[in-house]
Amino acid sequence: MQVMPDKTRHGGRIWARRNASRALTLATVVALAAAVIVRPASADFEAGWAAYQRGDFAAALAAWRPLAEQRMARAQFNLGVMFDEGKGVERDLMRAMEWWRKAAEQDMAEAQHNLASLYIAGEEVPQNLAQALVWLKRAAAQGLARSQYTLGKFYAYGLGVDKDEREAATWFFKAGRQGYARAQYNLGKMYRDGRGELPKSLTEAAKWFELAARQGYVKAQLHLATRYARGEGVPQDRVTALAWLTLAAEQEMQRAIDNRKALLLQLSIGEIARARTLADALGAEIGK
Amino acid sequence: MLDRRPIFAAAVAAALSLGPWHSPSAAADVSEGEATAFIQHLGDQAITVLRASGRTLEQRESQLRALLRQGFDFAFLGRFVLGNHWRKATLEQRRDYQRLFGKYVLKVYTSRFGGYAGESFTIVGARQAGMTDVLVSTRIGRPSGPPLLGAWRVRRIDNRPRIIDVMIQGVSMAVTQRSEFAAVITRSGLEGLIEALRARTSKMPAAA
Repeated sequence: MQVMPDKTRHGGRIWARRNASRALTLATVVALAAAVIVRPASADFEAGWAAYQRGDFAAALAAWRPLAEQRMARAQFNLGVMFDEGKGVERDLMRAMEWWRKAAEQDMAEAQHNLASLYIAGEEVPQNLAQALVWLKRAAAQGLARSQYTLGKFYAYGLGVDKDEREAATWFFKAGRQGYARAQYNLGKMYRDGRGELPKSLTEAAKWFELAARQGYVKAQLHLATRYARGEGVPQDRVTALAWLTLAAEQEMQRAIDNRKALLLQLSIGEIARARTLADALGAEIGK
Repeated sequence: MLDRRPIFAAAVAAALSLGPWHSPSAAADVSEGEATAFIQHLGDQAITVLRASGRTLEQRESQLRALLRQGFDFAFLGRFVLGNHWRKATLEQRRDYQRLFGKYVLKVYTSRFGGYAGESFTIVGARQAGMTDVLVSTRIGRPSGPPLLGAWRVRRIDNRPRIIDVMIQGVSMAVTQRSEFAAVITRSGLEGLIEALRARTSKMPAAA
């Protein structure tokens, strides 16, 4: 709304100054009018988010739907989530897909991941691993840890691609370095077994298991406990082993429950008490 | 689907009471009073969780799932839903499947509830179902929308009441999932089902 005056001549500058101030006034009026009539999109989005958090899904939908229709990617993505989860609407995976596709095409990584998930899940949408890969790769390339991990799994199992454990490890590293627990756990297993052209290293395995275990990932806790029980990659320490088994058992993992029972029989009262204290301390760290 | 419902319900009653893992135990079967009290308590706890302030929607949903996990017998339910394929599954597959199955059921059946605040939870009835079970009917009132009618099938397992099926609007969750999973396994095997469950439970949540 700016008048671009001609400034090449003195007369022009006076004209420019007079018209500029008039243009400024006009611009101000228009801006004020706009502020009254048209709320900034972000305010509506925030209002929708607040409603969503409250559980007022009808209000969230009312806030986000117009934004989605105006091509706001985050609003499109969230609408997809609501259709996928049946929040405020009947669960409808086809609608979820439509909205996620729109956001995915605008390069929103989270939408790309969810779209890929629909193609893998094969619920109402027939399974299509090739399409899943297209979107997974785009999301992974943008750095979304969850997609990087899933891509790693695809390469590890040869889903829609040739099995390639080295490529799997590459993607697990990308996700693992971002702190994605499942990827860390898988790296632990690969180091333990020397797969994906990684050197067999129990020390590295224990390190990656511990990273995942400290985030509460139950399978990693079980594997870490085994390392401590056997002294593989870490100094043997059955008290620490019991502590990790206790945490894993609390998550109702049967093997942890069984292993814990067996280990309890081998330890002294003092050791068991120390393990309990350690488990509490570790658990408190995880809970943060 | 509508006209097959009564047959499904009967099939569920028959299947669940004659399943190989129903062991004639010395302990008494669950009574209507016990089952009702159990569901009421679970419902009260759920409402408390859902109304907790200062928590995000995701946190409330996560807590709700943790709560329901205590009340359900997913080991039983998962095996029932997988049917014959359970026998052929490896130990690793069984573990993966059970973990993902529980996650999937909880996610699908609680995400529409996660946001609720100010709802009412009322027990509207309880009756014997089959030889060992009690079906507790509930009505969940929602501020925006018609009430949700659900029935919880409760059985005494390992000496405490556990939920082994949910009927939503008259449709058995266990039976629905069983036929759905059977179709997936036919197409892409048990590994395919496991990957599908993994995909269904690892989507990104709504963006702030």
